[in-house]
Amino acid sequence: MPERFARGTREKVRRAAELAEAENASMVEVEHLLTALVDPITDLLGQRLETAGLSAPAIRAARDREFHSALALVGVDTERPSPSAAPRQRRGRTTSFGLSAKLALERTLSIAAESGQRRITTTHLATAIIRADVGIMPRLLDELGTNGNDLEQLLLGSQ
Amino acid sequence: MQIAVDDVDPADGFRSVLALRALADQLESEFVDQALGTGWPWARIGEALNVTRQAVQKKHGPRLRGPTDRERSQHA
Repeated sequence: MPERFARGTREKVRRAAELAEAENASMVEVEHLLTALVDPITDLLGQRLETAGLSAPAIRAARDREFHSALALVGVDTERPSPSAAPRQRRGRTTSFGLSAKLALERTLSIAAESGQRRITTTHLATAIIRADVGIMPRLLDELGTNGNDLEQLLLGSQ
Repeated sequence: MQIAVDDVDPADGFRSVLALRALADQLESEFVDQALGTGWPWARIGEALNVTRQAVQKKHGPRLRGPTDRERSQHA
């Protein structure tokens, strides 16, 4: 079993909570974890993701498009930007992780364990995020012009 | 509009359900703020939303009040 999160990985998880808080979300979700990988870019992995079209503004715009298309599917037409999954009802800090983020973090641990590496790296985290096969992530990656498999190939080269 | 559930992949359908919920929650918050701003009492807002005054106040009150001292100390 890997022993612990590398400092950079821990920093990304902390950054995801900060991003969730900044947009008034009550929970940290998987889209915040994804954004944290490239906002700010701190490693080769972040550079590769950005080159592949996953910059922070591109992710934000894709979230809005994904929201609009999910609503259009049931006949709702709106120009509103995508609200946070659960608008925060209480002022204060966003501290809890939503299910999508919890599952991504759980997968991060098993992916790190399979890799045999001692530290849990940002690549393990990124792989776990893009492997979500239901929920917002597959549609979001589609809006970003990519998919989980292509991104995993890209990540293989950034370890 | 007729929604052809049989023709929609459940994964896409569930995303639509979540998006509708998020939209409804956001609209509810905005209209509660607007109603309070124009002097509606909580009981009337509750009645309009078909929930009790206590339920609507519990859900929206903290957002408007700000953190309590206890919540603040928990984050300190």
